[in-house]
Amino acid sequence: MKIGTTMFTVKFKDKIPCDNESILASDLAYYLYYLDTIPKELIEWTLEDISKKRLEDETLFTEMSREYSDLFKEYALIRLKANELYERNRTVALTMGLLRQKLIKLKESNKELPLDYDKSIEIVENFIYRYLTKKQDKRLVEQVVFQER
Amino acid sequence: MKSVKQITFNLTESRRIKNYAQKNNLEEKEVLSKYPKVMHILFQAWKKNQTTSQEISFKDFFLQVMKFAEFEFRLKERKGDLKLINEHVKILRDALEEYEQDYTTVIKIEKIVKDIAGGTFL
Repeated sequence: MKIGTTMFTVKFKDKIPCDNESILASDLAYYLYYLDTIPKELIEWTLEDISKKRLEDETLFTEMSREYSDLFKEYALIRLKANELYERNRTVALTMGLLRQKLIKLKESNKELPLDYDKSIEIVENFIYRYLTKKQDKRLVEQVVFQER
Repeated sequence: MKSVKQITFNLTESRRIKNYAQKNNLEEKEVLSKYPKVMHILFQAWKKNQTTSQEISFKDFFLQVMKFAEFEFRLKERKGDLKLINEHVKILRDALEEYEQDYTTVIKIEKIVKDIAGGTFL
C-alpha cells in the first residue's frame, strides 16, 4: 500500500446498529481525540447519569474558566510590569555603572560613609549581574504564551 | 435496523487517525484498537439503557456519550491550563518581588552616596 493512500478498517465485537456507515465512520474519526475519556463504568450509567455528569462538568468548567480568566489578566499585568522594568533597565544600567565607579573612588579616597564599601559594591555588582547583563534573571524576560480561551 | 460489524474509514478520516497516532506517539493499530473497545462499552451501555428505561436510538446514545467525552476532554485541558498559568503567575510574581527588593537596596546605597558624598553623579 502506498503511503498516504491507506484506508483503515476496524472490526467491532458487536453488531452495531447503523443506517449510514459513512456518517458513523466520520463521527468515529471526529471523536477520536475523546475516546480515552470514555470510562468503562459507562456500562453502569443510565442516560440521567450521563446528563448529570455533563452538567457537573459544565459547572466546574465555568468556575475554572472564571479563575483562568482572572489569572490570565493578572499574568498579563505582571508581564507588562516586567516588560516595563526591562525597558527601564537601560537607564538603571547607566546609574548602576556610575554608582559602582563612585563607590570604588570613594573607597580609595577613604571617605567615611554610613555604609560598608565592600558590601555595597558587591550588592551593586550583583544587581548589575543579575538584572542588567545577558545573565539576567530569566524569569523576567522569558515569555510564556497563554491562550485566552 | 441495519447493523454493521466493521467500518472502513475514507482517506481523510484515515489520515486523521494517522496524525493522531503520530502526535501521541502510538502505533496506528493501537489507535485503531480503541474503536472496538469503546464501541463495545457503548453498545452494552446502550442495550442496558434500552432494557431499563428509555427508548433511544443507538446513534443518539452514541452522540450523547461522545459529547460528554468531548466535554470531559476539554475540562481536563482546562485543568492543565489552570495549573500552568498558576505556576507562571507565581514565578513572575516572585521574580518581580525579588527585583523590587534588590532595587530598593541599591537605591538606598545610591541615596547615601548622593546625599553624603555629593558630587556630580546623576
